[in-house]
Amino acid sequence: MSNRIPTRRARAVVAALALTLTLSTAAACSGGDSSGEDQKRTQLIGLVRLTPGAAKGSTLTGTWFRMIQVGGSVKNGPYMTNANSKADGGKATLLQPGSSGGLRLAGYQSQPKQPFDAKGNSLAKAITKPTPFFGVAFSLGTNPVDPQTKTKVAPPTVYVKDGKLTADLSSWGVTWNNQVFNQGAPKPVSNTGAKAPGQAKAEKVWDWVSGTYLESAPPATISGKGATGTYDAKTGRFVLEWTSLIEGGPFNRFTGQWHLEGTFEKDGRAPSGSN
Amino acid sequence: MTYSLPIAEPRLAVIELPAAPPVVRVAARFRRRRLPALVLLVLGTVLVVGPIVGGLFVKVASGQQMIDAFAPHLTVDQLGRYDDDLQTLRTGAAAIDVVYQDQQIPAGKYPGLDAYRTDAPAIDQRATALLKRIRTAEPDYRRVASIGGFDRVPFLLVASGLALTYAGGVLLGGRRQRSGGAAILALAAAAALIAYPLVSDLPSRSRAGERLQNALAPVMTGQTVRQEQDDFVVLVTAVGELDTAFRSEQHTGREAADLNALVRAWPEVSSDLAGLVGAINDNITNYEALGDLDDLTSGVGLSGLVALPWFLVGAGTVGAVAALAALRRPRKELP
Repeated sequence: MSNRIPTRRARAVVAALALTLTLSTAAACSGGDSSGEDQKRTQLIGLVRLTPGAAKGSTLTGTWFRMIQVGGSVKNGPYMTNANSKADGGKATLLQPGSSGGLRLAGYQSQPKQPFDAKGNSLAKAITKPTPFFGVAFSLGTNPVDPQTKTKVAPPTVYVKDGKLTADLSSWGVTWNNQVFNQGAPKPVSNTGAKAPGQAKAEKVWDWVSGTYLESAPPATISGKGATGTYDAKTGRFVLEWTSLIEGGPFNRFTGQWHLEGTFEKDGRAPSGSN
Repeated sequence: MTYSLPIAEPRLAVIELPAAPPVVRVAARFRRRRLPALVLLVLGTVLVVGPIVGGLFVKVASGQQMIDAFAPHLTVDQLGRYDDDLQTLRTGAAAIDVVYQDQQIPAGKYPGLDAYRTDAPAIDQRATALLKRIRTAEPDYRRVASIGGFDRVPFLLVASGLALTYAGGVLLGGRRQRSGGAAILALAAAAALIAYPLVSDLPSRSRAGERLQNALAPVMTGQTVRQEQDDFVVLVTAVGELDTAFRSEQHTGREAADLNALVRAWPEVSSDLAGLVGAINDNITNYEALGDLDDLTSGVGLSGLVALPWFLVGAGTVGAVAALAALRRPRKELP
């Protein structure tokens, strides 16, 4: 009699494993459509040489940025009025290409290890030149681990299909006045919540185990919509736009509106580097 | 001189005795002490399950994260800087008023400065009240921050609980030879539960934690953050105008010095303000989790933070008594 119990348990375990395997295999098979979708679009790898921002009245061209106050909208604001900018009465801030000439796609342009000077001015200068914003210079970087959310993010990734761009700019981050804000699209899922000692390591182990043996998808690290735009393959003209809600920090729930214009220069390799 | 006489030994008759049955040593029946074992088992289970079901790991980790996040904002130097920042804003606001009156500047010419003139007293009042509250809470913050291993309390509970459960199980149904070791293990676990709060001065520090929690209640809200953001927008717009269009206005002497000082200090002032507001905003959830910990015993009219160390001592004492009772030599009974 006592010999039967282990046999029953063993059967139950085998049955559970078989069910798990069947379900995971079915899930893996059902996800096959997305790779087909990927094949129809082309990833752009290279440099978006940014066009400097310019303003004529309230008409803005080139590369620029606006900050919308809490509760405002892209269309009607209210916008933060940057006294250091004359564009659109200070409602927009014009950006100039930095030392790399612009935004690298498929590679990071990380902020420097020492991102600020003694007065809180941003020292990152690769993508755009540091630009005065309320008396303190801000700048941009794309980092493998987003400094605000502490989440691993992909490098700027842009796909083109029929002249339309879709982009993952989740690594797009702003440095200003000793503060870091993620301004990407989609947004990284914050990884800054309180964790018991050892919890982070345990989660890593669990993610590995579940990914390796249960074939489950890794937890999502981004959420929301990505950037969109247009691309003319003949001229290389490139426009990318998005809005990004600030989540956390002193400007929680303010929104950044970004507009990048430039010319795409194909590189053929995925660059990496820092500001 | 002595003489000895030969004495004839009596001859004994041979007796035939019946064979006696072999003497067998009968082992005393081991009578288990069921009550201490049951107490250890139940107590251990509560200590293991309670922290997990009650989410104690996250609550305590949240409290620790909040304490760590405020560390840079509650140093003596930083509190002094906040005072300086507020003084700079006050003197700047007064100087703007003087220049407005001297130059008879009409309303509407500098909308940002107009708004600041209107709001400056309220902004100053709010910022001063915020700073006062934080400064008042600082000594309690120090006491709470000095609790060593606060975020490991749930691990202590669970580890002790596992030891007590194991000991209870062995005492209840395990091999007799292991009973002594199990009771000693339970005694050690109970001693750890009693010792940690007493060695780390947890009772007085957790009372400080409760006071800190109450003191920060009006600060750690989304409404405070929103208000400070609004104040920041007013300030940043005003300073922007000061640094640009308002320079065309004639102002000399003390007012000019005060306004220049405000513009010059603005990066530091705004950085300090942004850092503090950011710390408040990013720790509201942590503060609420700590509040949940404090509310765990609200049903019996106690602060959870205040009760926590005494719960540890109480659980440890019960465990120790049960372990000692289990350690006592059990009675032997003959069959």
